Amino acid sequence: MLRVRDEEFAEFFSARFDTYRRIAHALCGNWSVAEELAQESFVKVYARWPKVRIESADAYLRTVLTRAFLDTKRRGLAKEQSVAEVPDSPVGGESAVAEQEVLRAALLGVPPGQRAVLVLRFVADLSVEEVAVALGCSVGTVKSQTARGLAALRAAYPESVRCN
Amino acid sequence: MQLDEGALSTLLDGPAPAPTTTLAVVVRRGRRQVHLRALSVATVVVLVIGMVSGFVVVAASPPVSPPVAAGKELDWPQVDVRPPWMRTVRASAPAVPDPLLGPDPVSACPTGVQPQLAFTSIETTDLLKVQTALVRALPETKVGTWQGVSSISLTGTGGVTNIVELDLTDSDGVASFSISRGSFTGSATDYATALAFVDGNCAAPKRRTTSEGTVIQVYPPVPEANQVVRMKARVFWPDGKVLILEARNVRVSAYSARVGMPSVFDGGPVRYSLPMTERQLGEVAELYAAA
Repeated sequence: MLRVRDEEFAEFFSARFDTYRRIAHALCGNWSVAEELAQESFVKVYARWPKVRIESADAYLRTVLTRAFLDTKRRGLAKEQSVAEVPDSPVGGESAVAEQEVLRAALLGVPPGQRAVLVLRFVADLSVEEVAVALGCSVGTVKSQTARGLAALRAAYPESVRCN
Repeated sequence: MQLDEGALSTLLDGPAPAPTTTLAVVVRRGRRQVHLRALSVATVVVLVIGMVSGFVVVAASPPVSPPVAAGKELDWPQVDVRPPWMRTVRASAPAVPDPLLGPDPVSACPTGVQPQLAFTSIETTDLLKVQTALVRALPETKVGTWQGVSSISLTGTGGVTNIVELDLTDSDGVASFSISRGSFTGSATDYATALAFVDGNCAAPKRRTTSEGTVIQVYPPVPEANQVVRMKARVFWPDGKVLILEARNVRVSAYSARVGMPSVFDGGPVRYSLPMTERQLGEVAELYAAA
C-alpha cells in the first residue's frame, strides 16, 4: 500500500515540480526561495497524500504553495530579489528574455496579495473560481484584486516600454 | 511593448537553474512530518486520557472527613448482634438490604426486651480510678469532685450511692460526668451484646475486649428531651461487675437519673456540647479498666 502510494506521488512530483517552482519564482522573484517554497509545498502534500484525491491534488498544491508564499511575506522572511528600479528599456534590445525580466521586475512591485492573484490567474492560467478556491476567498474578491493588481502592474511597468 | 495580462503567462517559460530538490528529499521530509503529526496526536490523546482519568479518580474518591471528626471517634469495631452464620453470609453479600438477613445492625434500631441491670453500690476504688482516668484523658478540663446525686432507688438493689456525679468544666462551660455500678450473670460478651442498644441508640456501640476478658463498650451520643445529650460507656468485667460511665452536656436532676424518666435540668446555664469526644470516653473507660 505504501509502495503504491509513493509511486503515485513520485509520478505527481516528477510531472509538476518544475512548473510549481516556476510559479513560486513568479511569486517571489528568487530561485532559491522558490525552490524552498515548492519543496515545502510538496512535502506537505506528501504528508497528506493518502487523503488527497488525484483529481484535486493540483488544487491542493496550489493552495499550499500560495499560502506558504503569503506566510513568508507576512513574516517578512522571504528573501525576495529586490529590484530598486525597473529598467527603462529591456536589457539587450528586443530579446524575449529581457522583456521577461522587465515584466518580472514590474510584477514584484505589485503588493503580495494582488501578486498572488495575478500569478495564479495569468501565469498558472487558472479561472477566477479556481483562484478563489486556492486563496480561500470569494470570486468577487479575486476579480477586484485582479483589477487592482493589473493596475499596479501597469503602473510599475516602465513608460518607455509601454509606449514601444 | 503593450502590456497585457497574457504576457504574464510567458513567465513560466525561459531559462531557470536546475532544481536541487529530489523526490527522495521530499519523501523523507514528508515521512518525518507524518511521524511528528502522529506523535503530536498521541501526546494529546495521552494528555486528555490522563486529565480525564485524574478527574475521575478525584471525583470518585470518598469525601474527606471533616477534620473535627478525625481523631474524635474510636476506631474500634462496631458490635454486630447477628448470629455468626448471618455475618458470614453478609460479608459476601451486596451492600443492599437483604430481607432474609434483617436490618444492618449499624443503622437499625433494635426491638425486644432488654435485660435490666441489678444496681449495686459504687466502691471507692472505682471513684478514684475513674477520676484519675478523667484527669489523664481530659488534660484541658477541670475535673470536679464526686457527689452522690441519687436518693432514689434505681431498678434493682441500691441506695444513696447508686450514682455519683462530678462536674467537668472546660471552655464551653460546665458539663457532667457520672458513674453507676451493676452486676450481671453469664459471660461479659453476651451481656454486653444484650445491652448493645439499651440506651435507645440506633447505631451500634463500639467494642473492645481486653486480654483479661473485660469488655469495653462505648455508645454513640443519644439526644433526649430538654436538649440533654448523653454518651455512655459500659465496662463489663468477667466476674459479673459492670460500671456505667456517662458523659452529659449538662447536669440533670436526680429525678431524671431514674431509668426511663425524661431528663430535667438541674439548673445552671445551658451547654450544648458534650465534655468529651467518643475517643476520650473510650480512653477513660480503658484507663479505668486497666487500673
